Amino acid sequence: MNIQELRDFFIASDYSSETKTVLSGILADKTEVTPGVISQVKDILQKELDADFKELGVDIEGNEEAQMAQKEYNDTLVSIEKDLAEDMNLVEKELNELEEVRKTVSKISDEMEADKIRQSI
Amino acid sequence: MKESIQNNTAENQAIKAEEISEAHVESGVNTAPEKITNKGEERFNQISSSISGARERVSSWVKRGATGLGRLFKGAAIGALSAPEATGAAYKYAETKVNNFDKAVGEKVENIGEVVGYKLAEGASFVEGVAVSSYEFTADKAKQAKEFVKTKGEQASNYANEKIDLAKAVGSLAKERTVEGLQSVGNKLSNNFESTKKYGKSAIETATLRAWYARDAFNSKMNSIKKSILERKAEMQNEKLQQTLSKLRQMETVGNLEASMAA
Repeated sequence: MNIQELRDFFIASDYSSETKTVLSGILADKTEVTPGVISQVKDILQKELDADFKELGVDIEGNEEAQMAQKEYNDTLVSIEKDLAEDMNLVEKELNELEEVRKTVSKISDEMEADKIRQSI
Repeated sequence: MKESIQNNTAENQAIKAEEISEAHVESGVNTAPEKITNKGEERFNQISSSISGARERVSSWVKRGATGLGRLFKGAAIGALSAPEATGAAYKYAETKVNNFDKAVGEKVENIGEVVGYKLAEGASFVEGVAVSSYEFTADKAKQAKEFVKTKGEQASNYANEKIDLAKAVGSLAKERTVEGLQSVGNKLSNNFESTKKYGKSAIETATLRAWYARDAFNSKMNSIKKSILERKAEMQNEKLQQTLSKLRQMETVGNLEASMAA
């Protein structure tokens, strides 16, 4: 499916005119279908689907699968944030160590300059 | 919302449909990856600003080395710091640091690889047998995860090599004390700063990617659950209901398109 076929697909779809307008805007300047484009499109479609589910009164109260899915998602996000914090700690530590190397070398540089002065006397 | 769910006891773990729907629609789900990205960016900017000017200082110091020490001749009085034992200790210290970093990054890559692999396996079984979006999750994400782990491994290896080069250059400078050595160390140090920052940026991208995967899997799963509920409803002739089922099929088509691109 190329980008024009994707545009045509949505025009003929059951999604609302509001959603179609948003999709048209997203696809207007695109020349090819990429994972990024699809991701954007899916976000828009999902919003309308969620609104539909709500309007239709889809009841997932007590649904164990839904509870598990929610918990899984929450746990995953917590894990991602934790890993990201660890990565940032590593970056901070590395930058601080490089700064120490810089100071060390700067000291050597100063001493080289002092030697030069001593030599010139 | 997230906390309240996590803190629920076994007795009252029944999550209200409205709560889930609201969280889903009102950004609890849909903006989570963006929140993670923003949080990472914020932290990264804090770190970067805390050492801001370091690269500039290195540059000016290299420049100073090039001009101020231009007439310095090789073999000048070396001074106490260049004593063989001091040079050896400095080099050893730097080498230890490099090895530690290499190990830490290596472990991290392994961990991330495991996490992504686990999530993929989990995600595959998560949606297995479900009509909506089962195919879309697996093929594309597996390919991306493989690339991601490979890239992280290469980054770690390149970074470790850069630090080894720097350590060697510092050791040589302490011993030889040449202008060329000073400039070389300056350039290497500058590159090391840049690489470390790139690693930080990459970590943010990684977290964002993982959050996107998680959200995809979550949305797919919830769609399938809700689709099953809709299909069981007695009033199947309801126009809105039929229309929503049709939209779900169209969403599935988009998902399949994504999968076919990855194949």
